[in-house]
Amino acid sequence: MPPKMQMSGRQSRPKNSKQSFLKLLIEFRAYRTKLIIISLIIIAGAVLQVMVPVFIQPILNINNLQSYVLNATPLTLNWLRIAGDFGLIIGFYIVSAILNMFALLLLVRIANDYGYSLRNKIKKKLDRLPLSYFDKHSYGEILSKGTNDVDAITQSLNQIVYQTLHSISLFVGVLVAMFIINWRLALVTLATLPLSLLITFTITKTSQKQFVKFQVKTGELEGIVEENFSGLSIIQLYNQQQNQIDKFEAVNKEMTKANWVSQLLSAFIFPSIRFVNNLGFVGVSVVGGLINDSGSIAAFLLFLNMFTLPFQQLGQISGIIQTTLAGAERIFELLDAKEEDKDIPDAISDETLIHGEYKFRNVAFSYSPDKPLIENMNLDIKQGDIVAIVGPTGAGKTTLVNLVMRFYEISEGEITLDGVNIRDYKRETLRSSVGMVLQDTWIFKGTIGANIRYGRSDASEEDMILAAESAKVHHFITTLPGGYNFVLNEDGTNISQGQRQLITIARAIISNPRILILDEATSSVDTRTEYAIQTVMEDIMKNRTTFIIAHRLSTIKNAKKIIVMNRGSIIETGTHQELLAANGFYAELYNAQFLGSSQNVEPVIASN
Amino acid sequence: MLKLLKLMKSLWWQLIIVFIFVALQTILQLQLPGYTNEITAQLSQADPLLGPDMNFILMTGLKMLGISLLGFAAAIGQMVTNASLMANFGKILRSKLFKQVQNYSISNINKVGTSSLLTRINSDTRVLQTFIFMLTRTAIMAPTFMVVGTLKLLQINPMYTSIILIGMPIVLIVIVVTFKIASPLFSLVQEKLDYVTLLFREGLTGVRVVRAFNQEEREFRFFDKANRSMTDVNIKVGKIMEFVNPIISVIFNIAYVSVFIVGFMLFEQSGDATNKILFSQTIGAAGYVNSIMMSFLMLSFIFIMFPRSAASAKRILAALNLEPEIRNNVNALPITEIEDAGVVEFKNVLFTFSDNQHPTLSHISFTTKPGQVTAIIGSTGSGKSSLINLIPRFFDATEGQVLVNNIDVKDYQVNDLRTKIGFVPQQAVLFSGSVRDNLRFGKSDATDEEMIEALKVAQSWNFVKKKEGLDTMVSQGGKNFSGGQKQRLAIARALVRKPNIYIFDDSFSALDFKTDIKLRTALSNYAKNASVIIVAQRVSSIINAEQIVVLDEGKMMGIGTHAQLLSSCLVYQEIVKSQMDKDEIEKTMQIEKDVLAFEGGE
Repeated sequence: MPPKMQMSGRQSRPKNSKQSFLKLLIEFRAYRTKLIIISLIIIAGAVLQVMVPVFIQPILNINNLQSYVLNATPLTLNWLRIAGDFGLIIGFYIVSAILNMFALLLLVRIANDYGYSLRNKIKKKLDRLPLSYFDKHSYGEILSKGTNDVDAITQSLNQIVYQTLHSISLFVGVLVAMFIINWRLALVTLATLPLSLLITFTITKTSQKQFVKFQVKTGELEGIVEENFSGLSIIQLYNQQQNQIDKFEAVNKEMTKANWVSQLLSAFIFPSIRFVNNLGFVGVSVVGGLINDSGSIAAFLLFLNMFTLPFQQLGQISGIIQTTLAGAERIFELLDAKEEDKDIPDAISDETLIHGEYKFRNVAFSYSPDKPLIENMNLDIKQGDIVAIVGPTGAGKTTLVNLVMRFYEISEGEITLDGVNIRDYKRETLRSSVGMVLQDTWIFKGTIGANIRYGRSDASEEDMILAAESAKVHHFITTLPGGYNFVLNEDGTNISQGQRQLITIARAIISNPRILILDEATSSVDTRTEYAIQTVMEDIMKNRTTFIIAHRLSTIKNAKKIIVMNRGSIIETGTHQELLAANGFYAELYNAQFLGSSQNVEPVIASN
Repeated sequence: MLKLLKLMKSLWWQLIIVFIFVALQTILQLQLPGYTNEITAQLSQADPLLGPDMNFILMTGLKMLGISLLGFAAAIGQMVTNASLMANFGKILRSKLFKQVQNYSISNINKVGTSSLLTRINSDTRVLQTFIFMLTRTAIMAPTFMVVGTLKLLQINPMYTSIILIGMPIVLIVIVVTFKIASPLFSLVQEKLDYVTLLFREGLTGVRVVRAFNQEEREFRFFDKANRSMTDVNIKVGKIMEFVNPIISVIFNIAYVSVFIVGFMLFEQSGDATNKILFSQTIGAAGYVNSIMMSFLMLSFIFIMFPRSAASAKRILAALNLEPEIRNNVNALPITEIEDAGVVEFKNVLFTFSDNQHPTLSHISFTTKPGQVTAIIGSTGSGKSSLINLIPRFFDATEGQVLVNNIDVKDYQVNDLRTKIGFVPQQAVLFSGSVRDNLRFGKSDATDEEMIEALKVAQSWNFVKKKEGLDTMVSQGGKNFSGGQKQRLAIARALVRKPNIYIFDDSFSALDFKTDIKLRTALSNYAKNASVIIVAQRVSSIINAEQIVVLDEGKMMGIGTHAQLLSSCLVYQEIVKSQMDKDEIEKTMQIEKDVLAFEGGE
């Protein structure tokens, strides 16, 4: 059960651990009942633990020894009484252990369930973040939050909760018991308290910064490693291994230092408390000796351990606590990041209303406010139009697609689809009416069949094969071992880029959308195959509003409307013939491929 | 596990220092119970009238204080060195792993998977670090406590030792059983973590596609399933551990109490109801039994942690021991002895992927010439990319030879070979850093002028200049540049190197015609004496090539110029027809004539 905490869309960044800690506590509301039960169990267990010295004390008091003697000569002891007394003590131990076990078993479940819900929450959050978030944060860094940081929390949460509750109840219990047995020795023991407190707090405070730094560096390192592993062939090609290693080592070194200092600082707590414990040990031995109460000494030696145990435990787990808080801080930074605007309350969700008529009115957009990209763009696209967008690289062609899909929000003007502002549709409805094939193919680890069916999960076997045939990839698939059940690697590395593109085309075909976007969809497909799928594509494009971005002008010659873009604005529109006749930017672009024929320009490819 | 420790040679001196501190700390700690013993003995033997010897008690107290102080110092020393040891252990492990991966071949990476490597370098290393941190402390402390404690017990009365002799085997059995049950689960946990990481990563790399197809639900369903299954295994493991801890603790406490029972037995045997020495002895014995069992407990923690650490160690070792499939020739020729002629030759090359039966390439033979363009064209899956991947040895030819500068590529140092080649891959990959950093990939000491020249040739100086020039920052994966800009930057990166062999693997696909033409024109001047190999889709990009190799299903269907192939090669004709209409083909023939006339005129 994920906690019911609703994440607000507002931007609030927990800058310190206190806030993260509070948030963590709030998140735990869902486990309230269980936690109360656990607390009660732990308190009961601690009380029992405290009782043991109380019982041992009279047994071990030398002056009390005679009460176990039944007969002085020959010496016989009252074994029944001994067995009874010790049996009671052992009984206490066992019951206390069982109680603790119950508490811990419950806690293990809570901690792991919390980790589970946290990972799910992050996963869901990623779906709601605007794409610009991914432009700013490296994959490795986000990955690290979802794996390393959540792990840090999960693996230590049960320990933290248990130790904290246990320490507190033990501390209170011992304090009471000590005063009952011998108030003078209790005072000696109590004298060590301020020292313990001082040590614990000073150390914790200084080391927290280092723990945060360690987690941050871990994320940074993961960023470098992810980038490196993904682009390894390039690195090898340019013999950049050493440079990459240097880059890695620099962060690795800082990470190691933060790791060392943080561990070191928190590690100070344990021996320091132990030292304080020893001081108490000495004090109790001396004072106990002075007041001649050996039974109390024995009991207090046990008490002392318990009395400083909370601090020792805190010392032991302070590293863990701080790693956890540092992790929580990073996770909340992600969970609190500004989300995409929510769909308006009564957004249109009826897909049948969408036919594919687009209007752009005075649209302005830029990825970063200081660098305007698209300004004052106007465009009319009728239902069923095939619109080709051409222009030099960086002209804003893909940006246009991003806007149509509402991956990014425009800053001025409006885009309407069938007379309705695209913001008035549910995102889901808007996007499911559009089929998109991108230049950067995305293949997930799974069978080819699953990758094609990604477009429509309820597609039948026949539909799938039909789509693959249309995309001219069926034959290739059948030659693979297992055919449609052939498992593609992470990133689809076991087939070629062209084949990946064909699979993503099949994916779009199967989804049978009203609007189609082909962003360099066939750039890595050879022209023969492209030619072969052309007729199918034309079929698919029939009656569908289609946006084509392509550099191969042959693929776009037949488009109803060609939009020529340059530097974020539309500079020409028209058909192929019209644009050639106009002898403008497009004509120049088109003729460039035959450069050297009519004009007397230097041959294109090297030859001297 | 041991093998990993061997990798840590440079840390051995640190380990020794840690051990010395631990030993010191242990010995000092063991002194304290003896003094308590003396105080209680003093009390029990004290004259009932005069009371105990106050001076003696105070002196003993002072001695204890001194020992505590020394123990504290030793503990601090131990912590400082141990934390450093642990941190450095992690550092070395990460660094070794990262360095090893740098030598992986492409098939190595594909086999292990990027996500799994990521988990190994972070999560698995962390598990091992925690283990080492505990191990170094306990390895000395626990046995010392046990040996010294047992000796002291024997000294007091061998009867007490029997408690240890009974208690320990029981604890041992508990530990062994746990070990057996938990061991396989720990490997499972890390594998599940690999899978969760993989799904996370896929969600990130495919964020646009997922949203475009509204597949958030499906993605989440899969993720949730993997997440749940990992959580369940984690809970199972956690439960086993939490079950074992209290069992050991109960055994421990029973042993402690037993000391007093033995005390009573000895008391009865002595037959002396006023035997007070025995009483103080028993309290002392209890202290030692306490220490012994405590150290045994510490050891048991190590054993409990061992399965998980062993699982992680195994994964890291597997990654470290993975032999790169491309190996350096030990008798490689020194680069200085190779003439940099700029020639690539394929001699009857056959190539088969290891997990495939049909050859991807067969009977490939051709030679490039300096100053000339060799184009490779063919359908998707015809083997174009595989062919050029053999040149920088991303893969090795199964049969036949690939020669660079008349020497078999396998006779080069891999690094030397690659410096001879300017390779631009299909997918432009940029790295975070500045544009300058990225360009210096090609040549580490390139001057600004050289880089700007390369950018100009690659038609990218214009957009780079508009930003912050060479200092423009590139975000991870080059996400702040468009596809075409990335490609041009990747081309510039190869140009900076000024090699005598260029390979362009369909590197102009994201460029519009105009940019494409400008780039090629500039390139023809820039790389006058180099062999240029171009894999292309568009016929128009290769019309002028001196030789065009036509591939179909891994076989060479023809080689020649545009005009030659147009009249002789069926596959080529089909390719051309698919891209151009009649007029356009005519135009291209015209170009060829112009070129010939141009050359003839010279």
